[in-house]
Amino acid sequence: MGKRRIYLDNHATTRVRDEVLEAMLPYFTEKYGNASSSTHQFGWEARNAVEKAREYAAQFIKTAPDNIVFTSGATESNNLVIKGICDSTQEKIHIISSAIEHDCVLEALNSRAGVCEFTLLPVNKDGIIDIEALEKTIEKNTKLISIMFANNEIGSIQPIKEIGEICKERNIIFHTDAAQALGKVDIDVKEYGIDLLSASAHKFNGPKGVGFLYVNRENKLIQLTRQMSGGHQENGYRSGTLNVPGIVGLGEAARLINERFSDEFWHLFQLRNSLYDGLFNNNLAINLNGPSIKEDIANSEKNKEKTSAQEVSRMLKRLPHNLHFSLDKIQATDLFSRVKNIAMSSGSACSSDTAVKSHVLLALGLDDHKISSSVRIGVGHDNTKEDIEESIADIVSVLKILGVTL
Amino acid sequence: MSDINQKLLDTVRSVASGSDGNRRNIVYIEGGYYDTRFGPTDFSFNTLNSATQTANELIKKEYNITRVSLGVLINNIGISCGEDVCVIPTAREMKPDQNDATVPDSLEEILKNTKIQKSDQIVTNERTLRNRGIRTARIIADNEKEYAIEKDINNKGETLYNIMIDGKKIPLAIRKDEKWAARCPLIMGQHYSDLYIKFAKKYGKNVGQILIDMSDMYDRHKVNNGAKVAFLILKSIYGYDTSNLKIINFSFGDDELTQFEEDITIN
Repeated sequence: MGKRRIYLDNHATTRVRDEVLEAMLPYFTEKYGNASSSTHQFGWEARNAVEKAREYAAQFIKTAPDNIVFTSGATESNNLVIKGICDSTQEKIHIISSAIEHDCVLEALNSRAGVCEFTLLPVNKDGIIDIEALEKTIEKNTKLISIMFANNEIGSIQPIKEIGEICKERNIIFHTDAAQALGKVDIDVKEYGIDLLSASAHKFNGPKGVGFLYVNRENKLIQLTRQMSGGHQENGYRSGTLNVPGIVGLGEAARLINERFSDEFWHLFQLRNSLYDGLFNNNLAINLNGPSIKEDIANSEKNKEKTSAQEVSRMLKRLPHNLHFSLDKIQATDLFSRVKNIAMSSGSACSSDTAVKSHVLLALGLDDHKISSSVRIGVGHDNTKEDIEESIADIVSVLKILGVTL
Repeated sequence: MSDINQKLLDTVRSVASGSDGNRRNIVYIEGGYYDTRFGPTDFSFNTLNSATQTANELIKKEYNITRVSLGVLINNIGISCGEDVCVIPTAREMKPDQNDATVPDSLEEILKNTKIQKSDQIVTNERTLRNRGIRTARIIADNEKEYAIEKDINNKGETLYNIMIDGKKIPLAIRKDEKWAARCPLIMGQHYSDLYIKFAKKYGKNVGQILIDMSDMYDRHKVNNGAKVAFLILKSIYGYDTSNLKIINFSFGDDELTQFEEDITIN
């Protein structure tokens, strides 16, 4: 019998919470109506469930329900934004994004390279864009700024509020991919000046294959050309029969976090910090990538008594559940192959079919060795103190055997 | 008998019975893979134990296998590379004994206790394979028009040589000026093709060859791509028919060998 499995790859995906699964099940078996069917009870109950979920999703980002468009996830939402805006005009528009966006944003931009211009902002060593550089990049025809809320590898959180303010001043649409941040950091779209926001349910303990796009309907500059023709669901933004069980699951996952944000936040933050301390205080030859965790801890300690978890989360420079480091002397697979029971990931796709080196780590200026030896850890809702203690003990012991010591 | 041993026997039985009825078959089973920087791991011991136990069973008459060989592959070049990230330790980083390609006592003990003769135990090291692989890469590169080669340039200005097999781009080698480095699929392709040639010379071109390799799940794509490269090397460079060859790769997700995937590569 092998060692028990510990899942520390919660940036890739998360486990569906029991309450979420329970909420979804009736919509597969008893309440299986099409939410677009308006002539019978099956359709009405499906529609009601979808609208309830829409309310929960809206509360998640502090907006009105009719600003929520359900999609299959953040990838689709991001594609709809980039392609939808480029396709909505005959004029040559300019878009600003960053070098560390998710591939779906970068590829969507590339797909419209002939009809719109785009600039990818570099990031500093912590993976954060420079606001002054952003302002200097704005051109007369800049129509959209698309900057991710937080990075999926190194967890760096961008200065979203400042970007939102610039966009409002300059009449530019502001889109953010919040797939990794939602549920981990308190987000108020109005306060942050966000016009479009992409999310995926499976990143916050909901099901896979469902997500949403927030569309600020008050901003009349926003014109999204639909990317799928057909049934005119979701006010024409997204045709296709609604994934009712998935949407119900998304809503329930959002509701649970809305209700218990503080517990969830401190749980993740403390587990990640314990893991960080356990690994970095053991004389190992490892280097943190991305923003300082010590500074986030110090800031939270300073403000813990007088502010809420929501406010502390807004001060962070790094996602509360993220840890990313590179190993000296060995490669990530040398570690992974010796602790197979602990799920972690790396910035170099060692077993993929294609040649892949993380563009995010390249943008940080990391060399080949630092990329191939990089380890990404994301703690999650289901992790316990024991998981973290066991992981520290196993990882430290293996790294010491492999000679990854100072 | 453990599940994996039973699975290995079932696989050999099924593959051997599926081949030409009159054809004799030989089986080669490899386990015990380890990196000389770190020495053998639980995975090395468990795969070699499994290989030897299966080999001991296969020599029984009922299986009708002409010859059973055992093998150990030693990683003495320090690569556990990604698809385009091959960070090879410098000579300074490798201690002298890390180049050693002799099987350590702990694994030797397992080999001693098998019924397979010493002459049928094959120890191979990746340093030799890498050097042989480079020669193969050069032959392919010199006759580029005969192969579906795709070249990329990386951020260091090195040329990445890839070969297209069944619509898949498989990395072969990296070249900077006259310096070459073999990539993992080429190293494994060289390994399987060397074994095939060795057995073909020893037992004849018509004998059925079943080569079984046990690897880590992380290496699944590399070894499977290696198997494809082996068929290419054997057919295109050495002119072998290869219809008598089957390469079977077991990739394990745990050290206890309970979670695994099986891939069979044929002509």
